Amino acid sequence: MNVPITVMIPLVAHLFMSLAMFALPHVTRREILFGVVVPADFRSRREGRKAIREFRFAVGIPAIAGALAITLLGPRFIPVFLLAPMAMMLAAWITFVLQNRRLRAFAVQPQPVRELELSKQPERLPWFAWLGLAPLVFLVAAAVFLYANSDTISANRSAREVYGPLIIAAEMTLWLFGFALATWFGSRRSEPLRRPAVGVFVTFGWILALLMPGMAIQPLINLPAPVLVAPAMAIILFCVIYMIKKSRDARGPLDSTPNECWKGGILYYNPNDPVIFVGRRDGAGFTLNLANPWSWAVLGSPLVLMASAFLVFLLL
Amino acid sequence: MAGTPRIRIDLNSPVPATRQIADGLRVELVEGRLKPGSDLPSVRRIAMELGVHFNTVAEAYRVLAAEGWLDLRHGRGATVVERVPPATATRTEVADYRQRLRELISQMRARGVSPAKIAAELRALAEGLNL
Repeated sequence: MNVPITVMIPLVAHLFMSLAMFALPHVTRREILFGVVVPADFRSRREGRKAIREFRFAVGIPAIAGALAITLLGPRFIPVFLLAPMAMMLAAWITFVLQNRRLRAFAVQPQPVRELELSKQPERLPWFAWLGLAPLVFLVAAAVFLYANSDTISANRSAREVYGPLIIAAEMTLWLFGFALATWFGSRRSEPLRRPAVGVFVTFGWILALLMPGMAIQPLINLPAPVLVAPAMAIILFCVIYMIKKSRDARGPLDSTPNECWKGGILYYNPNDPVIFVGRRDGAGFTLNLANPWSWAVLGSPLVLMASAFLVFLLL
Repeated sequence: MAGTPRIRIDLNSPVPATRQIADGLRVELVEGRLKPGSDLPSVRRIAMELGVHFNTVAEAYRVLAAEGWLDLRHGRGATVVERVPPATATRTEVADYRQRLRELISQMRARGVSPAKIAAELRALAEGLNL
């Protein structure tokens, strides 16, 4: 069967997302299943196996149906490219929440004892966090290179087209650096994912530092697009796998966030907990304590980023 | 009794978190692991690490400041101060403490801790008081 490239790309994306959803119950620590803290051996018990089986079934059916729909209807009905993964995701999250409700009957309260060493040592950022600002140097270097070669740039290209990607990349670099700082200072010292998360944000900043200047100078050096995009995608995939591994392999007691403060095992809302970032129960990485007003500032920050990018484009 | 000072709270305990924090800090102060002049972590840090409200920690600090253990200065956090020992406790106060000790010992026995073990624990604590 000859599948055109315009169908192949959304099909691969759909299958990749389906695979990610399929693996969702396995990206957390063994003691957490569908957002519920359960005994360590629960996954191998009958109820645990049943819950995972039902989830796989609920994801598998729309995943296969979506793949078929994209292949058969794709070229004639373009919206299916979006509808198929959305339906699969919706089915996955509904089933996740339903399983969360069911498994609450087997929930155990996480370790209720918290301990704190009373040292007043300053909270130092890991050294590599500062590397998050280094991409700015690359961006400035790319801008200088473009300026120096301005006579070879086509007269049809406006300043917005030439320097726009660099300015947006600078904004995103600063945003990622800010996010890394927020993650570090807004989470508990006992949180095992704190350091890896900062590392991942710094890495994303470096990906931008390679991608955006590459895009900006691409017309001058005729760099093929896959040479730019493929390494970036590979590094992003590596970061995702790294975070999942760190999340799964985390040792020590679980963060004792009360079970009743988790809505559907996905959203954390605890007005008595001043923390901003807590370890996710539905996957790898962090989520926000929605009872903390700073969390809403964090959530709103991408909007500010987008608005400022728009403003830059208007002014250039 | 050397070692890094630390406090612990039990989120499931019926004892309010404020009291658990104040009691934990007082133990460290009395046993000398927190010495005069040492700075305590900020309210924000303790609250975040223990997962309790800022006011809970601030109230515990105020209780200890009222007892003369801490000096609270806005923007500087809490500092342990040389405490002037209060006048000797009255008979009623001593009787009250004895009653609380008896209640605690009863709780331990009810949880299955043997009298010999309790006696050993009390002896070890008494030795720590440098009698």
